[in-house]
Amino acid sequence: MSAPRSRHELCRALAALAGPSPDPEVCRLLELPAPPGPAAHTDVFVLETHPYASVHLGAEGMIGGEAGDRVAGFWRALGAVPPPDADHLATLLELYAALGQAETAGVREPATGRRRAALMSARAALVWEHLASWVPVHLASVERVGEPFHQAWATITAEVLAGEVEACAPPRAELPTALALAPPPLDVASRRGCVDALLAPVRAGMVVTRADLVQAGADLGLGVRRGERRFTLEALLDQDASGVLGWLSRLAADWVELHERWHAGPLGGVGQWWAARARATATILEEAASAKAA
Amino acid sequence: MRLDRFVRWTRTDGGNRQAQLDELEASLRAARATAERGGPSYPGPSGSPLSAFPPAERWDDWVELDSRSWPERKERHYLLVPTTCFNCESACGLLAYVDRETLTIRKLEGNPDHPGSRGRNCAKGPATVNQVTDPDRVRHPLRRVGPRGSGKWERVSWDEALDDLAARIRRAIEEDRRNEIMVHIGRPGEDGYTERVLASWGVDGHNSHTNICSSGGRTGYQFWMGIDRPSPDHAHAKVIYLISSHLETGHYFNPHAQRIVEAKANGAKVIVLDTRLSNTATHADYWLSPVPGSEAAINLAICRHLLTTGAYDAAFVRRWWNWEEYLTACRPDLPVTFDAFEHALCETYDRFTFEYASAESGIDAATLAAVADVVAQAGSRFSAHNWRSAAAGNLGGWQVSRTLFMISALLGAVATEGGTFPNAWNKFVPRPIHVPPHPEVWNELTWPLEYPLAQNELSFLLPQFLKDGRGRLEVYFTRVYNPVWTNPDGMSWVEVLTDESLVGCHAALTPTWNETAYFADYVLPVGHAPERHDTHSYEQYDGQWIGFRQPVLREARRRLGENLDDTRQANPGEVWEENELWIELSWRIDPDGSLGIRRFHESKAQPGTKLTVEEYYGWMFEHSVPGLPEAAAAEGRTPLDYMRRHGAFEIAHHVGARHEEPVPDDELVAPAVMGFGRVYTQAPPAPAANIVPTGAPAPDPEGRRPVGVVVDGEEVVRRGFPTPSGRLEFYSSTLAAWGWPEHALPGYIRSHVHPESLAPDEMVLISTFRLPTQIHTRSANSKWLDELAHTNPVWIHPADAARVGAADPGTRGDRRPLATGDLVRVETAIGHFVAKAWVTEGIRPGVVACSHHMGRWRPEGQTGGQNLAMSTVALDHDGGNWSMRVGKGPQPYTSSDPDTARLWWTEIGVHQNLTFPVHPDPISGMHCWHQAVRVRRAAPGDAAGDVAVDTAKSRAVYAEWLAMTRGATDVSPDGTRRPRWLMRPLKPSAAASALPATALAANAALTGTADDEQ
Repeated sequence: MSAPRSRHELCRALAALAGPSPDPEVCRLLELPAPPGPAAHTDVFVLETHPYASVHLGAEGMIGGEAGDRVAGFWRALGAVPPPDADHLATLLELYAALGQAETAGVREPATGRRRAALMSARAALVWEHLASWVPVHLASVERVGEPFHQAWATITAEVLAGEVEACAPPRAELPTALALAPPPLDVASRRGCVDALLAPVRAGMVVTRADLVQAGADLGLGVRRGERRFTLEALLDQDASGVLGWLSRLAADWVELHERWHAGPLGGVGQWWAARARATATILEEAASAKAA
Repeated sequence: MRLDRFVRWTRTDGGNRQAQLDELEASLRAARATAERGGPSYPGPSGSPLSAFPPAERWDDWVELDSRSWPERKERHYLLVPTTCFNCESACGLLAYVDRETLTIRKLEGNPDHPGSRGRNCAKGPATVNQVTDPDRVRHPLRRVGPRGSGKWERVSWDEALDDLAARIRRAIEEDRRNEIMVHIGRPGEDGYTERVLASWGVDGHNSHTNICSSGGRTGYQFWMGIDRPSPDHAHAKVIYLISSHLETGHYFNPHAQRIVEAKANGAKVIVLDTRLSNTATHADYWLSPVPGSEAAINLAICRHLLTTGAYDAAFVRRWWNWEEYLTACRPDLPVTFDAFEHALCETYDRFTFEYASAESGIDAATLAAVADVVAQAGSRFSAHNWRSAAAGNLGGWQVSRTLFMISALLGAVATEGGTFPNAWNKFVPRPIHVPPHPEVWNELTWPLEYPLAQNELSFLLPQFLKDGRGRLEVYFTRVYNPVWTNPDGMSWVEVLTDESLVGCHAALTPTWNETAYFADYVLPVGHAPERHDTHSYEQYDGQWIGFRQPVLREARRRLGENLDDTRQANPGEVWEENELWIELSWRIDPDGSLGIRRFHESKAQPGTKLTVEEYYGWMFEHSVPGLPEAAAAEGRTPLDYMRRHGAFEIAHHVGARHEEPVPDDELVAPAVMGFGRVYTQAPPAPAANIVPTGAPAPDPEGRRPVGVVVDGEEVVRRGFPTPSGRLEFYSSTLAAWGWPEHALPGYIRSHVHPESLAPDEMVLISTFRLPTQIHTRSANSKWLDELAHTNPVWIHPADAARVGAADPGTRGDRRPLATGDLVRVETAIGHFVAKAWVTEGIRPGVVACSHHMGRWRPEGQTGGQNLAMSTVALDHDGGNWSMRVGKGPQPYTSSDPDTARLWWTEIGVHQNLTFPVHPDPISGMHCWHQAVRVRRAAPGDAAGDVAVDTAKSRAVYAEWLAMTRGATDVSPDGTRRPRWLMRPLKPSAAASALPATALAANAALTGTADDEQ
């Protein structure tokens, strides 16, 4: 059985660059712009976007829950104890790199036979189920809020991910489980339910960042109350529900385009799912905005 | 700007994008490999970490900033050419930085492609550049003018020198005086090349330095496993046990030291037995400072502990020890069962309690017990080494390594991960293009009848044998060797080397001036590490590799398109490499091929023409190094080009327990299973690419060769060990049969310097240790090494310093203790030397120590010599009474190297070896270095470095030790001179190995066979 290409060092490097102190030597090797410093990292990866599978795929848009358990189960299936932050992008990239390296250059020698087949199978499952299902969405949001360094990092990460999917988990008809069994889309029947869904990417089909809410306030001439996103969003809705829903509808429409761009090639099917979710959100919000306006 | 690239990527086609990602992956992998070697980054043009190495793909044009041009950022372009260090036997990889502009060697660093040294070197490797650029080195062939030793020289051509030597050698061969030709090897570094040259001449003229070096250690290993060197897998050991004054941190084995450090980092415990606080001891978890010579008693106490606590690997012992043979031969009272053997084993070693070992060694029993417990916990991850030190210092020192290996053999730590391997399994000597047969003569000047079990040539007895009238030498080569200085009893060497009736012609093949070269007829310059071709392999871990030494300027010029056909064209002056020299000399000895010599130095590709080094190594690498042709092809190179490029090749990694390997069926033709499971076959041996020397057990009476052994009643035949029994020989039938039945088992022989043998005012002098940054002779012209270490004071404990001071009031009459820097006279059996004292608690009371390497000298009037670390001495004698008084020490001087004007040291130590009589161990033949000495304050007028010797006394000591032997004439069980299975560099034919007629008659009379014949 020939080994699919493994870019484990690249994955490992990209994981390391998602940390607060990117190694300048690694940045140099990848010809990335100079990293902007720890404060920018906090802005991008702590305050604005959240590089966790559970945040992107969970019904509540929060760390943990069923989406988190799904990733933890994968670790256990490998015979490993799930580490802290088991579904963090960097952790998963490290895991992916380790599996790839074990195939081609194990601790002492490359794996052979059944062990190698098992490693390849695990790597394919990881990239398809636990990375392809949400990472492009996260990368798209990073591109929107990050500095040139983060944008370049997001771009190359997306490229590598696409390449790895192509190499070891060729496109298939079925969706990743997390998407196939995804929670229902946005529902505006209740304001609380609507807000919950808007802040859960898998339901809204988009990532609403703090920066988005600040921008919405600015565009609509509303006061932006400082706090976590739910608090800020509700404060905006309190001031102009129709305007805010309409603004978010347009954001969702923009995300349709983003999904198409960030899910190129072998990720096309996944991208279509996300685009459909965003498109549905845009439609629902537009209708809700109109209703509110009326 | 960076984003542009990614934008571009997203717009390119998929294939191109993937290729770009692959490039990034490759650079990251390379960076990780570099980073894992550690170290800070180098900010210059190479951009690589300081502790890492230039990547091989950039070795043709490596750029660095010229440090001397600072602050100007001037780039220097280098060709990086690998070679192998020639300063000690470890054969570490070097990388020569050849300036592309000047075609000179600017520096030498480690070769990262070398599996043994892995790019790391001790100080001696980089200092090779000092030796290359030494302003005092010998650059042209020289011939003496006036009497030998008078110190005047004239330059001659290589042709003149070789013609003279060739004529002498040819005449000796034609007149059947083959034993008058001898090559005495110092630093071999060439895995048998010279042996094969001598074999091609049909002479048994190989002489080595080994009996002043490692014969004792080798003997102990050889009797156990048929292979005379250990290969400890230190890196994976749990417990590392070293009987060593210098081994792991000094002259030898930087490759071992780095692996010991790795093991320590992984939690391994290090136990060091060394009377002196050596560098190795400072890194030990347990430093034991025993009474010199008691080491075997300690080893046996540990063995007893393993036996009595059941902490030994009984399955391994039952499987691989020759216990059945032992019981049959020595304990007919017992049944031949393993239970009975275990009982006998415990009984045999029962007297070696910790209390007994404590009484012998002076180390308290509780400490010995604690150490034994640590050893017991090692299991099969017990790596151990003894090379010189105690094995080289003491009468019976060979039992030190033998008892040490017994610990390994009890633990089953033989050829295991973290254990100790036979070296031949971790070493590869490629079969060369020609393998001449062994000679038809036996040279008694090197292998005398008195020492049938000597592990190596009795090299240090040569002057005594010549004085005995046992023979003479027509042509005597000292080849990278300095016996006057390195051997004991150097003045006896001077006496015979200056006697032209004993030594007709002495040619010193040497890269540097040395004390022996002063007494030569020709001084012929041969190359240092970057000036010669050799292959070399060494046991350093569980694997096999070969290193390639090459003249780096010749290779650099080849890369630049210039093909030289003679290494002299690239070397300084007329410095030559030995390969070409020996080929040329052999052709001159036998120009028409009538002597049958020339054919071994001819081309195979073009018969009748002279063999070139290109063909020699090209053939070897193509035909005799498994895997190398394939590796070379993968790079699009020839095997020779691969070695020129990389400098080393790893043939095998994880060789494993070769003794357990089944013998293939096709090797078992009409197999016969003889006593104790030894299996013989009629199948001829398969031609082996690896001709590493091992023991060669004799065929059975039917002429079948031993091929393996049946163990534990298995169906399969295992490869076993190259011993007569095929097993590890706890019991040596060889020792028993050849006159030493009392030492047929590992045991403890009290040293000639045992406390009971010393007079009350005598102490033991340890002289076997070296300074870590010096080599015997050739480092004296290395300015960096001389600056690091240039003197050898006498280590003395404060208690002894007080005692000596009190006993000898000296000139001040105050009976104060000796202080560091005070001059002392150290009196041996044949003379004395004067040196400065170093008062230190790093030495055991009752013992003094003085390193060799130091005390280089040049007689007044001698125009040869070097100036960095040599004193000019007044060398006088009245008959055998010699005195050497130090005159002018080293001083700054002007030369082509401006550093010589900055020479700041004035003391260079003492040449103590001159004052040592010969002490040949009657079994191993090893010179037993330890001396019983008296230490006093220096006399008025004494100067540091002064020496006095009476060679008549040295003759008397020689006679005393000779009387301890049991000669082959008396003990040979089969009419041969020496057990045929034992290792020997050249193995004369069976006819030549038979006792001479007169000895045979005597032997027959002694053994009672004469009556039968009548």
